[in-house]
Amino acid sequence: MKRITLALLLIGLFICGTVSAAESARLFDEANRLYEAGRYDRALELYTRLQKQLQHWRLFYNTGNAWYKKDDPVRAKINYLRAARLRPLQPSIEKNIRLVNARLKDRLPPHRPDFLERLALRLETLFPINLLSVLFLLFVGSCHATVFALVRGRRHRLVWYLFIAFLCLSLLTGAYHLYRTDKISTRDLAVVVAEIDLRSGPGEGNTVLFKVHPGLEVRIVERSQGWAQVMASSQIAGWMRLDDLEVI
Amino acid sequence: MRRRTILWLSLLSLLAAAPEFEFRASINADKIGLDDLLVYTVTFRGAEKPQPPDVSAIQDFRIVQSSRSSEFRFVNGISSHYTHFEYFLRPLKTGTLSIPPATCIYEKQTHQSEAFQIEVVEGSVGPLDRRSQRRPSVFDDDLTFQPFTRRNQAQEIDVKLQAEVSKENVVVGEQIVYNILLVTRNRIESVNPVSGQTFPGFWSEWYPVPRSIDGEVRQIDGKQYHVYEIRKAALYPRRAGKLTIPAFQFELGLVDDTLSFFSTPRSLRREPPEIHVTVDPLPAAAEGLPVGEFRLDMEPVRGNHDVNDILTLVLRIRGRGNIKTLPVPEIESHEAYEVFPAKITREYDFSAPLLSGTVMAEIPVSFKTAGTVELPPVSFSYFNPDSRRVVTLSSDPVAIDLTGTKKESQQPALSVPKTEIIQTGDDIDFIKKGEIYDQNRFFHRSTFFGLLFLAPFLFNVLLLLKIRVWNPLMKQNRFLNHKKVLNQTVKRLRQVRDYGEIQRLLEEYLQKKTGLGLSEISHRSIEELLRKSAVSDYDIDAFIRIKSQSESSRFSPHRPTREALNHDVNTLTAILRRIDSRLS
Repeated sequence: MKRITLALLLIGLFICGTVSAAESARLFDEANRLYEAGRYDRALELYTRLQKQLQHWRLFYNTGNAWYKKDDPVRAKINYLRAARLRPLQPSIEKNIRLVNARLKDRLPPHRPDFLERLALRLETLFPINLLSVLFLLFVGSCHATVFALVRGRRHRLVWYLFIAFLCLSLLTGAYHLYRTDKISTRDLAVVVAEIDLRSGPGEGNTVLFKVHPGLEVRIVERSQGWAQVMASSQIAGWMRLDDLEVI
Repeated sequence: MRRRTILWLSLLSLLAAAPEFEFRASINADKIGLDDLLVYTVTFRGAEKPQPPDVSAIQDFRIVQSSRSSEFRFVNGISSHYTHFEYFLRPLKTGTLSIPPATCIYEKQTHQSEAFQIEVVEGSVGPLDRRSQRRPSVFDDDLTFQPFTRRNQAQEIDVKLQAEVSKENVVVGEQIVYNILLVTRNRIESVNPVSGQTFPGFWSEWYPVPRSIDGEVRQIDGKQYHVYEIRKAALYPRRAGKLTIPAFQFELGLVDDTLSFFSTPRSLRREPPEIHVTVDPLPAAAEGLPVGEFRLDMEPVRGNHDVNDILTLVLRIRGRGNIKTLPVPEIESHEAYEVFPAKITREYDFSAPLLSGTVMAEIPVSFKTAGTVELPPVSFSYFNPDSRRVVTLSSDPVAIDLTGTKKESQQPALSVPKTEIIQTGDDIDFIKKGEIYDQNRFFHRSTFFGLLFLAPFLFNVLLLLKIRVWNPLMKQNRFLNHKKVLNQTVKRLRQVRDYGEIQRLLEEYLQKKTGLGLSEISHRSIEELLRKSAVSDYDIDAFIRIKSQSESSRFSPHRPTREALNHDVNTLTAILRRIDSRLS
């Protein structure tokens, strides 16, 4: 009886998941059709509704396109940057960000990743975090299997070699997994959404250092009582209200 | 060995003779005028990277400027490190003024320098010590900046921008170097352009902004000014007539000694005057030609080449003139070779007095037949404004030896970019279609991941515990061992399918429990053993009966039924459980 209940529960969950995925796919297709028909407002509504359910780079990218067509480069940039976060080095995203930047008031020289940075981003696209998790578990499991074989007395040279190989792979994937999870959890990229002053400290009484405009991409260095210390470049930095930032 | 000892001794003596810390001050004159500057020098000896001394006690003088310098002396085998802090002081009143001792803290001790008395008179007393002749530089470090000290005397502002051009009468396309000069008697910390920087009627090329600006001292209207070249551009008039170079406005950040920490920095806006340039038209023969002075080089092609190779000819035009618009001479295709569009690189040389540069054309050429192919000379004409004539340059003809046979199927044109593509618009890339799923749902955050990660760990740990702890314990503990024998026997009894197997199981059980050999086990010995262990007669009889039946069943044609077997197995199990503790 228990087994039947469990099986029914699992089947139910699977059906719910499939229905939910099918509904998302249907909404996405519908939004794309509306975009193609030039009905950007309605397309945006659907894209925004979908964003509450899931996060995918295509969804953010298309949302960015819709905002761009509605002549809002700031919102478009925010969505393109979110898409780029989930799918680095995508040529269309990079191109659209370039075009959006050309329409913004504050233009800083674009950050060009060096060889190592590009390599790291390429690795990110090759190994999504979930694939990395599975690989890590596989290597750890295989490592334990070799330990099991060694403990049970099967101490062939091949088993030792396999143990060392799986241990190294486990450590390597584990370290890279930690780096990636840390990167995912640190959300320090943001876009300024209002014309504001960058001040020398967290508070209205501090000296105004720079006046910046919506769409400026900044990196959050520190947060303090509703204020954030941000850095747009090595020269342009200061404090601003967190409310005027859209974190990517 | 002896030499080494001497060396060590001399090193030790040098260390012993290392100089002690010394802190002293000096001035360059005892008597100065109100218009003169007094140089007050504070010197540290034997201190590594000392902090600036405290000179805040000076009340009768205004510190105009300060500087810091270091020196290293090696005298009679003793090295000394000196750090000098030099202060330029302007007296605030006449009379006998005092400079109180400067103080410093070094290695948690406070040191004091000597005090001075200076007589100050009206006007100037003439040349002082050599050091006072040195005017403070615009880019000296201001070590005396003390945020909480107010100095009351406002400084006189004497700053202007001037513009100059290399030539005021030129022809169309001729280079003019335009300079914006900062002429100042004040210290300027920043120069920022305010207005747009375009030159109507000119092609322009700004020189890069230098990292540091070196100035020169000029006498203007009897006053000494520092002159700095702040921006520079090369201009090329595009049409004839009277052209105007507009006045660009700059914001200058003034270093004001009277400012306090919390006041905003003083900024000034200045612009140089407009400059008018007369531009003459080009002579008819020079119409459309570049203007300047140029050289033409064609890199020679050496050695033999395969006829299927694509060779790159390198053509360079160097000189002064508008490099940006300089046309590159073309080589026409021929029946023996085909010329493809060139890759053109333009480089500037900003170090020359007039802007010069190089245009490099890399021209790919493919050949159709083997043998010696000669490319004709390349010609390039320009108008020289100095000599007022058109100059035509020609390169040497290029002869190329080609070997091999031409592969007909080869299509070199495919590998060379075409220039027919014209961009007519720009737009964002189109929306993307395809599958979407939640990329923010991470497997590593699920409980399942944790379980999968921990399960093999736990499994191996338990296995190790069993092997290393449980199994040795079992071997050592007789009670557990006996229990194990009973359990194993009972388990095997339940799996019995043939009545004859029971006898073998019982014999094994008794062997393990009593340590008897197989030949020693008989009904008699079993009976004796069980009786000795105070087992009841009923159990002894039942045990021996079932064992005997099992023995005889191997030779009997009558097989007991399944029910009878189960009954006997159950009876035997019960007996074994009862007698086991007694046998233990």
